[in-house]
Amino acid sequence: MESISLVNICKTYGQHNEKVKVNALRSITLTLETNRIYAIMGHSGSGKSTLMHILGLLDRPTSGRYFLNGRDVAKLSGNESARIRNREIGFVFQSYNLLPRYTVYKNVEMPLTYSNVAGADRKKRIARLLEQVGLDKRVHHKPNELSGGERQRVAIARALINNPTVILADEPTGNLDTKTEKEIMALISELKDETRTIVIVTHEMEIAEYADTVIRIRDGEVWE
Amino acid sequence: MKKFWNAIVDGILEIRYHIMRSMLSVLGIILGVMNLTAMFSIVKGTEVANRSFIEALGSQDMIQVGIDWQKVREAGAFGTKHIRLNLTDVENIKKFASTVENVGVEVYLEETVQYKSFNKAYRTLGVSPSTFPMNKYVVEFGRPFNEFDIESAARVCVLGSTVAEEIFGTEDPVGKVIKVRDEYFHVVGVLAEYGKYFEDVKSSSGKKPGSKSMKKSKNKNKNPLEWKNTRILIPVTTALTRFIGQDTSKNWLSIFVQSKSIDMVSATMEEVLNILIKTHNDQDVFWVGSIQEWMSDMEQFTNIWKIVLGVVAGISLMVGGVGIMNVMLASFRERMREIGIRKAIGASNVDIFLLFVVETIVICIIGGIIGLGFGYVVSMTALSAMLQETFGAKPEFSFDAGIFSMFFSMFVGMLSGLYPAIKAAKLPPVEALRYE
Repeated sequence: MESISLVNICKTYGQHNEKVKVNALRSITLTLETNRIYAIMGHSGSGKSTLMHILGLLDRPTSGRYFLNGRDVAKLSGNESARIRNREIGFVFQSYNLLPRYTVYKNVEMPLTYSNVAGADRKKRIARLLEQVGLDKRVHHKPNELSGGERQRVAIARALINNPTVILADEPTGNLDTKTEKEIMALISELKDETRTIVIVTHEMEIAEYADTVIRIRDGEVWE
Repeated sequence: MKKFWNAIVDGILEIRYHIMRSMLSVLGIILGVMNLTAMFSIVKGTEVANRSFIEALGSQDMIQVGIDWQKVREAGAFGTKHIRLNLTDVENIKKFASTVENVGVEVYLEETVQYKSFNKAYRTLGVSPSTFPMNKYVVEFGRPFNEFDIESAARVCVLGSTVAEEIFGTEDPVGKVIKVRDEYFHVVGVLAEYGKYFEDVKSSSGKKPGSKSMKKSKNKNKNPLEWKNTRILIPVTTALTRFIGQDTSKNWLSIFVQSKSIDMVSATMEEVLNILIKTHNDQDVFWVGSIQEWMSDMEQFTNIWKIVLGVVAGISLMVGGVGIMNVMLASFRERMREIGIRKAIGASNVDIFLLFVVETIVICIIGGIIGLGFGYVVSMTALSAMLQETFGAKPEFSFDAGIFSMFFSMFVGMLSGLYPAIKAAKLPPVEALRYE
């Protein structure tokens, strides 16, 4: 089932100054489906991060249309995008991006506080997810008391808490050793299901092997 | 509501995490609120003291009439005999004025008083019976003068409380005979003690340790109404016939007029002045003043103080606010990445805005409460001692003023937290996440 559709997406930086104008993305047209894992590959500066930001509604395209589950989200306001990020998109970052002052539990709970989910329901969902990622023994630890792999598991649990339709993972194993990398990738692969699209941004071939489809980006364009 | 509560919890967490930094920013607010509450209690205290002082001078509807020597000099009539107030003027006012309820009179002498071996000069006032209620000469023991004393120019006297104490000690003065100049007088009454309020202030401070300087000075010297206690009152006719004679040039006579109502005071003032001018060959050499005028003068004075001190305290609170803004801007830089993370997982601009604003408000409320406590303690101890030493007043802590200061500090906090909060809320998520 089609979940994401990009039509002629362009992103230009420095629009108001011709000299420093940079075309980060030039007319990207893509269709992503559920129950599939995609790997976006490219060198640094290829535009893959920009594409990832636009897919995650962290940034807005200069032109083009972006349909997420049938809805045009390219021109949404900041608060509407925030709502969609909260409900429909789960992020997994290279540097985990956990809040250092909060416990594992609190970090996983964080998206729920922004979507007003009732208290009793919360506890169950958090407990189940932490069990799923294998961290049910670490609930009240703080991020700095965890290993890199464990931190990324917390981030994955956090990404899943609102049951999103899209998972965006930006170099999810970039800071991990080979053994942990395999564990994390296995965990991410398990997330594939009928309602979900998984996008992994990476420049490593080994990671791309977990994907059903590889999208290569070069100079802001899709190559294959 | 839920969001607001979350923001409060986060704010407290953040404050606890940066306890030292938070304490420093709270300090500005503490000092500001402390300043404000202390200032309020001082002004309120002096106001109460001044009021009790003026209230002891006479009733609200009272007017005093006298010769304005400045005007006399300007009129070139200096030394002219007929420019004196005398009992004829009293009669004239009684006869012609329609808004006057009562007229009293006072002449001022300084006479030596003898009793057994005791010998001392006192301020001696010739007064009429009506002067007693008008000038608030409250007779505590014995009786005031009556019409018979006036008509017969009787040799009777009423003593001020200090005079009675100095001459008779613990003895009962009423019924005793004292010698004033070279005449014998019966003591018929003793006045109540004036400046009780100030005495109370003194005695309350006397108990506290560490106020040595205050114990040394005699309590009475600090009582601004003590002059009322060191007087001897005799009937005005007695003073005129036995001590002054027909020549009133050396002794001043004051006339006190009571208006029919408090609302008519200014009308009465004008009327009395006109009568005096008419009956003195159209020469305007008089002044009239009212307790009301003095009250409003005092109020104006306290209002000026309120504004001045309020501005000073307000500025110090503003400085505290700037301190908070500084800290919040630093906090904003430090938490850029956190803002990015929160936005990525769905925090709206309002959520981020609340996160920052609530933190400043929490800081300000904490600072406000502590400042209020400090303000109370400071105004009741250190400033209290200072105020008693200089004005003989004590600070009056007012709860309203405290609450006002608290809300003001909250307002300042909100204002200073606003800019960093808006900055944080408007930060684009990509930029925030990129920040290391």
